Order: sequence, then structure tokens, then C-alpha cells
Amino acid sequence: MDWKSFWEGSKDLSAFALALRAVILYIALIIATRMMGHRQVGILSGHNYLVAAGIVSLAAIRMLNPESSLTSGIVIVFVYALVNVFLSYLDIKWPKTIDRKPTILMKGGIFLKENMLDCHVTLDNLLGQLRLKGAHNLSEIDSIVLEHYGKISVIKKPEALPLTRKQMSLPPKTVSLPTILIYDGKIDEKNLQQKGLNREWLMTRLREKGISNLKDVFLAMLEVDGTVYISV
Amino acid sequence: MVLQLLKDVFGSAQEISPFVFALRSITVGFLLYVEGKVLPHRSGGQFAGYDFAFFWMMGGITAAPLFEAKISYINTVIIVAVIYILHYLISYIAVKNRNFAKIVLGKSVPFISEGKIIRPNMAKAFFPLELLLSDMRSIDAPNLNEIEAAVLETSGHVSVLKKSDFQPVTPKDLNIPTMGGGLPTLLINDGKVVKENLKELGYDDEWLKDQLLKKGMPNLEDVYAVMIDSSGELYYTVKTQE
Repeated sequence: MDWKSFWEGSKDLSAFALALRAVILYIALIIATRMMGHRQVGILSGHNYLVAAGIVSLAAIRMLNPESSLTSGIVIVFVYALVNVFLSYLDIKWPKTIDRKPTILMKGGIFLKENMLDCHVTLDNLLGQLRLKGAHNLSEIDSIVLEHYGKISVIKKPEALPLTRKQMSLPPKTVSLPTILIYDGKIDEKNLQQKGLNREWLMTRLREKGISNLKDVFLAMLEVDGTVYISV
Repeated sequence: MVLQLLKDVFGSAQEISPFVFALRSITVGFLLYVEGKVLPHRSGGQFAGYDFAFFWMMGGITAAPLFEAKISYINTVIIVAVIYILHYLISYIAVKNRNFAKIVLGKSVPFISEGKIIRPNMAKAFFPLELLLSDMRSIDAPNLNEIEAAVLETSGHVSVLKKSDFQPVTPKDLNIPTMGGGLPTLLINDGKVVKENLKELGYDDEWLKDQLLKKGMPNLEDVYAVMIDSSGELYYTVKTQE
């Protein structure tokens, strides 16, 4: 294979060369996505949207056009990703300059008509979104916020919310995220030590559930009240 | 003539007429259909970064023959296949090997722990406070003081655990015994009995007819759907004219 035409592109590349170019570009794109961080995957703001559509279709065209240069394709992907990272960085430095502000559509149970007009949201759009959120009765809603990434959040009035433990005067209990103890047959030693537990303790728990072989356990998690969730 | 047309539609061409582009659109539509059938479930859910790259790229590649006459349909199919295989391989290895998964998918990042915001983690993930607050609002946790822990998942969204005082009361808290729960099973779908589901629960057609008769439904044909929950409660709905 002629490496120069592989990297710089030529009219007659073999199907294999084309496939290899696709693999390289895809891997470059995955690395770029990792660089851009989780917020890119969640598409949380305007520039994330545009970058998503841009960077990806750009890579797609480079993959498909045998005459385009692979080298410049990779350069563009990374530089574009860096621009995006830079915008995200500006976003944490000066939040309001990069991104639009969330807009309040309802406050204290009353619609803010000008804001709805500003955002070009019709009443029917809004009612549909509210239904999807399970908020059918407008009288139960305190505020509605249109987030900058286009989703609608609803804050219900306290009397329309489910009863909380505090309201029922139930004693507080400690909460924290559960910890993984066994993952696909392997003990997570670090987590076990952090919780001040040892293998013996864990094996006893397994035997209580009638499991003798560690390999059989797909997932075991320690919940905060001491319950061990085990799934084979 | 026909040969030239096929070449224009499926191969690379200098210039093609709107009519040929229309034909190309139809062939691309066919490709879309096939992709929709085999698309991995996880890619649409966008659990992690490489799903994101895959999903958006598939859309771009598939439509590429419509961008320009030069881009050939056959190349498109090859590349769609290559990217599909790559995504499949990465998912496969990630399921088998946790360390590989951590490198390719990234890890979830704790943002709030024991009610305190961890600022360095927020900065590392390029997350301004505003964004955290918006994402929390969208999952019905608008108040920071109610939050015990918050985690930025690899899908780019935040999950929260509320402090015990602000968690809804569950039947367990009040020692109320519960029945049922779990996923209900569909027994009749659009007037047709779903035989596998019925068999799985250990019932037969006769039993179902009997149950419906008890509810006052003599004709199976009039029933649109029947569901049963795990406590054995039957729900049915009839076909309506309008």
C-alpha cells in the first residue's frame, strides 16, 4: 500500500485502506470525546450541540471521501475538540458569557408571558412537556424553568409533593451511595478495606445466601443500612 | 444507460441530476432501515462518550452520499459496517474487562459528597455551578440543602441522592405490607392472545376466558388488551369504535 496516498488521500484507495482510515478516525473521535469530558456527551449547552453535529459530520465526510487528507482530518478533529474544551473552560470562568441563561416561564404559579414569547415557546409546547413530566395540573406547579439546553424543569408546590420522612417525623437515617463489593466474580479489595470489612465477613454473607463460590456472584453491593445486595 | 444510472446512484460521480439524488435518497432510506434494525441499544441511550461518537457519526455517514455526488454509496456501506464492528468490539471488551471500560468510557465523578460540593471535581469536568443546578432541577432536586450526594455519570448527566429527611415516605417506613409490584405481563395484545406469556405464567386459554367472563367479557374479540400484575390482578380494556 502506498502510505502517502493513504495519509494524504487519492482517487483510487482500496476498500481496505478506506476501512483502515475509518478505524483511525473513529478512534481519534473517541479520544477527542474523552478529552471534551462528560458534559459533551450529555449535550448540556448550545456549543456542545453545535460541536456534536459539526465534529462528527466532519469526520464522517473525511472517512467517506477517499480524496481527502486523513492527516488534516485528524488535526481538525483535535483542534475542534480543543476549541470546545476552551469554550467549556470559559463557561466555568464566566458562566453567562458563553451560555444562555435558563429562563423562568412560571413563577409562583403564574406564567411569565414575556419570557415565553422571548423563548418562542407556545402554550401547547409547554403543556406537552409538562405532561411528559407527570405534571398535569397547573395549580400544583410553583415554577417552570426552561433550561439552556432546551429541557423543561418543573418545581411543584410543596403540598403537591410526595410526603417526606421529615414531614412524617420519622427519625433521620444515614444515607450514602452504595458501594460495590463484588463485580463480576471479583472482590473489589479497595472498597472492602475502605468500609473496614474483610473477605471473611463477605464470604459469610455469601454463605448466608447459600452461595459458596465467589465466581458465581455477578454483583454485590453494600447499602448504607448494612444490607448486602447480591445477584448471581 | 441503466448501467450508467446504477453507477451514478451507487458509485462516485462528478455531477448528478436531482432525479439521481432522489434515487440516492431512497437507497439511503433503505440503509437507514437496516441500521435501525441492528443498532445497539446502548448507542441510543448514550451511556458514554463512545456511544455518543457512534450515534452521531452513524447519522452523518449514512446521509453522506446525499452531500455530494463524489461520495459513493458503496464506500458508505463499507464504512458503516466498519464503525458498527468497532462499536461492537469496544462494547464487548468493556463488558469483559473493567479496566478497559474505565479508560474508554471514563469514570463517574462525584460532585457532592456528604452535602458538600467538591469544587475541584466540578472544574475538572468543566461544570459551572449553573449547569449543576439546571441538571438538578430537571431531576426534581432543586434544593442543594436536600442533597447528600450527587454524581456526574458518564452519560453527562447528574444523579442525586437526597438526605433521609427529604426522601419520600415508603410503605416500609410505615410498616405497611405491600402486594404486587414488578413488571406487569401482557396477555392479550390487540385482540390476540400472547401464548408465550400465558404459558410462562402457567395458565391456558381456558383460564383466561374464564377470568374475562367473570369480569363480564364473553367475547375475546372485543378485548383490545389484557395485562396481569404480579399479584394476579387483571386489567383489561375493550376495543372502541372511534
